Amino acid sequence: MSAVASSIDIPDEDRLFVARAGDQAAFGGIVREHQSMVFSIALHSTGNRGVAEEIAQDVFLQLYRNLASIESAAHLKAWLRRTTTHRCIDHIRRQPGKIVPLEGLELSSDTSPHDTLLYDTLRRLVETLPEQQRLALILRYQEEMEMPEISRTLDIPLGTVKSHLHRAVATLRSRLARIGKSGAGSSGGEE
Amino acid sequence: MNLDEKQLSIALRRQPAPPGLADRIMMQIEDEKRIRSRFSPRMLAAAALVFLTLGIATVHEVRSNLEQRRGEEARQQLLLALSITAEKASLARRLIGSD
Repeated sequence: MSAVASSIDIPDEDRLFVARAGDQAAFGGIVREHQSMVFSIALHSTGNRGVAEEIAQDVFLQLYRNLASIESAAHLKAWLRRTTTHRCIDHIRRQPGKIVPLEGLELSSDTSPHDTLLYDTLRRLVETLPEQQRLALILRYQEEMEMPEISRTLDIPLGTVKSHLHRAVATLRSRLARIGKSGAGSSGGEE
Repeated sequence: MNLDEKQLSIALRRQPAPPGLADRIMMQIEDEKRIRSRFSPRMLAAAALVFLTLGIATVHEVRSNLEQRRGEEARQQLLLALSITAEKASLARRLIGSD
């Protein structure tokens, strides 16, 4: 049974069913399948790999304890996203306000789509957003979730999700513009 | 700076989990399972039943001791009252007899 359950080809529903029956290997398969989703949501929202790993471990331990209540593969994925985002929000609320020193960030004015500096800067700026805006943005762009789904995951009204996303993007734009100007200024490029 | 959705998708794309994360999680779950099997629900229920029985027995014992003590006190008071009454009656008899 275990050898079959640990097989990569086993359908999600079957794996969940086998794991619920107490098969450790099947549960291991669930962990391996979803670990990057859980870890990445936590990493993007906390900006700390150690904390993200701790959150991922807590989430999967909680899943193990609540496995009997998970009804389907879709329910499992939604449960994991929901539990992870709520854990992240709890963690962010316990932390004092994070300050990202903008002086340390510089961008060239001609950012190409492959500009890793831009993406690093963006990730650091996302970490400075208010927790719900941050998580809404991560669920939208990392998980490619639709707004009603984000609303259900975060337990907030659809209108609030829309305004969070709008504000988050506006904030990122203005901060990027500020960094771009200071970067251009410090490199001596005056227009 | 123009920020578009594609840039956000790239910046926030899924990051791979660190190597060994799943194994560490499974080790934690193994520990949890060991603890659970050491204290199975049946064992916990049995322990709770023993504690409950002991608790009830203790309460019953304390209550019966208290009642016994109260009874003893009442008995002592009654004996005292009877002895006083007998003493008075004997004194009265002696006074009537002397007349």
